[in-house]
Amino acid sequence: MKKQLKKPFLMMAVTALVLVGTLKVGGAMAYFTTYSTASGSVQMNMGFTQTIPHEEVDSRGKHVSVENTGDYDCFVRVRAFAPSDITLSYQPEDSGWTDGGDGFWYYDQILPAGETTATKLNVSYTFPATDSEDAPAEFNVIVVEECTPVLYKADGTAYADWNNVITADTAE
Amino acid sequence: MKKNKILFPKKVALLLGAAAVLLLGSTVGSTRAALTYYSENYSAQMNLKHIGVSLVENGQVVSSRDYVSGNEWSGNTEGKLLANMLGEKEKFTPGKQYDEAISVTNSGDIDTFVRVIITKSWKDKEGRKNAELSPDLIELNVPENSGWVVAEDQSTPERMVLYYTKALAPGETTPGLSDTIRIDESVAQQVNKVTDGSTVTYQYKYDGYSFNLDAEVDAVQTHNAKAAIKSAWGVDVSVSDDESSIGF
Repeated sequence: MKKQLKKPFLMMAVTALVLVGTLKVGGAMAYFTTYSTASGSVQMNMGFTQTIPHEEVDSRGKHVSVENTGDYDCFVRVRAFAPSDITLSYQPEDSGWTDGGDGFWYYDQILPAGETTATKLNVSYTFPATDSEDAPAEFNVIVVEECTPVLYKADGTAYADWNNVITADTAE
Repeated sequence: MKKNKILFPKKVALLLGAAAVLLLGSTVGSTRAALTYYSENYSAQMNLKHIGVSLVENGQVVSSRDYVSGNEWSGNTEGKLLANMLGEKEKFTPGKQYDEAISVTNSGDIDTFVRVIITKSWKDKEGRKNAELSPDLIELNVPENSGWVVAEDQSTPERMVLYYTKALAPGETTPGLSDTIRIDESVAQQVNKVTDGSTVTYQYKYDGYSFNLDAEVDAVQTHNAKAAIKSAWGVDVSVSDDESSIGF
């Protein structure tokens, strides 16, 4: 009789403990939380960078300007080549061009896409101080123009990487 | 008398007693928690507290999720980032810094702690994930002393986890966890040379590729924050006594 009465009580007690334990676990997990997300992407349609040199020729030499026909702002530089007995000299029209000391003259400003240099670079040539009859009847002065797209440092400063250049030339 | 001893054996009585004490204890605890949480508004408005969070990009809310009642939540949880990074007809320029200030607003009515998980990745022209380009090339600048802390041990080159260390009051917005985004200019230095007569051009190797930014903001109650954050985010934090800040 003692065993018969004790067993149900024991089971009830254990059940009660389990239920109480369940209550505690449920309470411990009730925290207020929320979340939200967002995402996006940008396609690098980098297009191309291209410039075209323009030049006017007269008795004083060549007057060179550069047009940016590409998609990107760029830096440009110009130099010219001529037969060895002809001396070339460069003179910016007003200002805006600087001698880089490496044979190139650099346009001081960034050349925006779709625009042309605001000033021209004049390239003049002189013959040796000998009898002018020795001057060649015809000769070529080749203007080489290079551009490189504008790059930016982490602080936002624009700079040129002249190791990656796009080259075009003219000869007359 | 002998029968009574049989009906209430000592062990059973002890177990029942323990259950009763535990039950009483849990009830008191719940009552105390309820009083702490709902004390001011409960009698006046019969309102539940509402948790809410909004993700903000350059001052504009791009996604949010605010509790309303029952199982009802308001807001759009899948917002769009970088949609206005480029101006009209503006072409993307590698190396250039673009505004990308990501912040968080508490759009609920209880104080919260928040964290943001940023994921960076690349896709090729066909939209496939590209592992050739490093996520490090996507540079999201994180200003110092903004209150945001990068959890270095939880972050990878592709994934950055940031915690705002102060409690965020209802309606309050954090400082930007970031201020700018830029793509390392080395992306533009990888080019293919093309010669056409006297003209040499370089085509960008990664022209047409896309960089992706995903952001997830998580918010959790400040009450009992240590346990709540451990439960919700699985991380251990230290919490100030007034539950106004967390640390690692």
